[in-house]
Amino acid sequence: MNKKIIIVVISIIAIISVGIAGVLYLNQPPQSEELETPITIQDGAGYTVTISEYPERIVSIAPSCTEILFAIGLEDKIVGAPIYDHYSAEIQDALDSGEITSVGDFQTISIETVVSLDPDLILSKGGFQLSTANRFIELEKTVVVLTHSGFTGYLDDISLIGQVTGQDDEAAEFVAEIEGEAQMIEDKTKDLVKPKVYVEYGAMNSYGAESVVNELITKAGGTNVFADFDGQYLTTSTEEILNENPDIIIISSGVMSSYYGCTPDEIKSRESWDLLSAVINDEIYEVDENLITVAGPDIVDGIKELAQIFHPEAFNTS
Amino acid sequence: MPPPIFNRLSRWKLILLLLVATLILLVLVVITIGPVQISLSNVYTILVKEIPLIGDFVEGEIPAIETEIVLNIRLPRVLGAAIVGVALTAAGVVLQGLLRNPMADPYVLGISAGASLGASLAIGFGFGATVLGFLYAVPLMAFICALGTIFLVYNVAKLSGGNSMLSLLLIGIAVSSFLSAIVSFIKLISVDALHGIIYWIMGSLQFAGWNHVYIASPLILGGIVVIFFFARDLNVLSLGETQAQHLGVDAEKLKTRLLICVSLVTAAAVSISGIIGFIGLIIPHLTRILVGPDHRILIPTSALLGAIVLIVCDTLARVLMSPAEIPVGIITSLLGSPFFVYLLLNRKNRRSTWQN
Repeated sequence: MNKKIIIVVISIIAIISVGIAGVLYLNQPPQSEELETPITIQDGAGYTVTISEYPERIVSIAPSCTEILFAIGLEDKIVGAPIYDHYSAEIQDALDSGEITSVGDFQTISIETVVSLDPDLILSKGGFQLSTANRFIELEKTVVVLTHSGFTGYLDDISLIGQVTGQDDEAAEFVAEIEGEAQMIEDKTKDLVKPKVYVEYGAMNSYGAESVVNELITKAGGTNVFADFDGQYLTTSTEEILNENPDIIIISSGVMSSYYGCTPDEIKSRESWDLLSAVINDEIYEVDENLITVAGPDIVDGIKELAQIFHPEAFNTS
Repeated sequence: MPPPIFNRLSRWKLILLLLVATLILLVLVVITIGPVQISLSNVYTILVKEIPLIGDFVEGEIPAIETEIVLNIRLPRVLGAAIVGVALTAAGVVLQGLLRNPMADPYVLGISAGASLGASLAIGFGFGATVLGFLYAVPLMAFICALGTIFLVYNVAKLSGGNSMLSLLLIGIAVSSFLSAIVSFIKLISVDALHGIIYWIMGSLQFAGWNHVYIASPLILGGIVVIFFFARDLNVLSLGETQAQHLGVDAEKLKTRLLICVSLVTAAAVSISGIIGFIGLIIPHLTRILVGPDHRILIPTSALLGAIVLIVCDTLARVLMSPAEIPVGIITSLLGSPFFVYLLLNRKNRRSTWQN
């Protein structure tokens, strides 16, 4: 009898102990994984950054970086981001509800607020954010600068973020997904006749060789009329457009186009533009600027939408 | 009856003392302000802890982040605002005296255009890297190009002969236009950087860290000291160049030396903060209304007042749209101009504030 009772009591104690240990283990504050060998990378600004621990608290100071973090499953580690992010409702909700602290808007980042969030990693864009990034480096924070140059550059940045956060696999998966879909579209349109495309955001402002738009047009099986213009943006003239005579006109619709009042009707009403084949055949389309003028996680949707416009026969969902 | 000069001197000393006290108090108040809430007692504990010896006796555990914010973000920024205010105002006073023109501000000889060009090149063509590990490209380029521009303006003016101050002004205007056009062109071709360039030119103390303060302070404070040394000579110069010559002031040497000081001081200020307008133009006039045109009191007083005003404006810039920021140049002009007009309309005929 005594032996049995002892065995039962010991078993109960053992089970309770394991239970308590399990609960404690699961409720541990997240420990940063110490890496055996620190990772050293070169970021978009040419800075050499050493990561000795994967970050638990990440602050992004550019909406495009926030978006990538969400896309590769790191939303729980983001502690601060710029206040407006129109890309996804999920991100905007997290900002509005205070889950992610706002660090300012894209134009001015509050250095104090970012520092007060005690980040292990700060993700910044290049260009004019470089001064802000430099200030954080001066304050001895770990900063990775991303420059998203073009389609490939954007994918490289996704991989880079994956590398420095330990989400290499998720990042690689996401990149492969995008590349796969883009390749599929490119293959479908390889042998088709490429239409000449003119994209405008208003007041005859268009996009040159170094713009994202240009790259996406090519991937969607079209040719940008300004593909050989060195540079990102240009302002053209009626004469030039008449000369080029594009097959398709696309309005990148959004803030700028509404500011300039650029709509299909406005284009049709322009002096002499009724001579263009695009106007005669009513091949004027509006595409959301967020899809085609900036690289975002939905960059493939941008290519798809363009491909559907350029080659409806090949991409008809019927 | 004590001789009049005794009264004036002690009055000046009182004014200076008051201004220095105000400045110190202002700094102590303003570093408690910011988007992150830090309790007053924490802020002052952090400060006291920095004092050698006494600091060790102070108890209290302050979170490292709060210490970082107060000591490495707010304090250098406020001090940066102070020295930029001092620099721009003193430069304004000197140029108004040298050119004998009340419309002169520190940028009139092309320094702002030169600095903008330097910054635009650095931002537009992506000079991200640091030089020697602690100098950042944008302030460095701004500084070098600002100095280069005034060097150019000065030498071209010398070549043209004639009334050198007038030539200086005219060539300054011509060179400014030319450089501004180049800046516009850079804005056109490097679209990514367009916003950065515009923002830099609007002026902001956002990026003022200890590096900036340490590097610029010796230049600015040293320049101010030298300028003050020539205060009396500036007084004499305001009578006219020939008259000054007759009174034993070597006008040419004076002009050259003062121009060098003004250039260094302004270039250093602009490399920290971009182009902040209004301060260098209006604060000297404001101070003249308050203390008169004697440069011996005008220079230190206006410098201190400039520091105070810029700190106040920068604090407003940080706070009004927190956590985003308004460029400080907007605040200085919005607040300052109406106030200045008010003062102008209300002054009694105490003393002549500008001699023609």
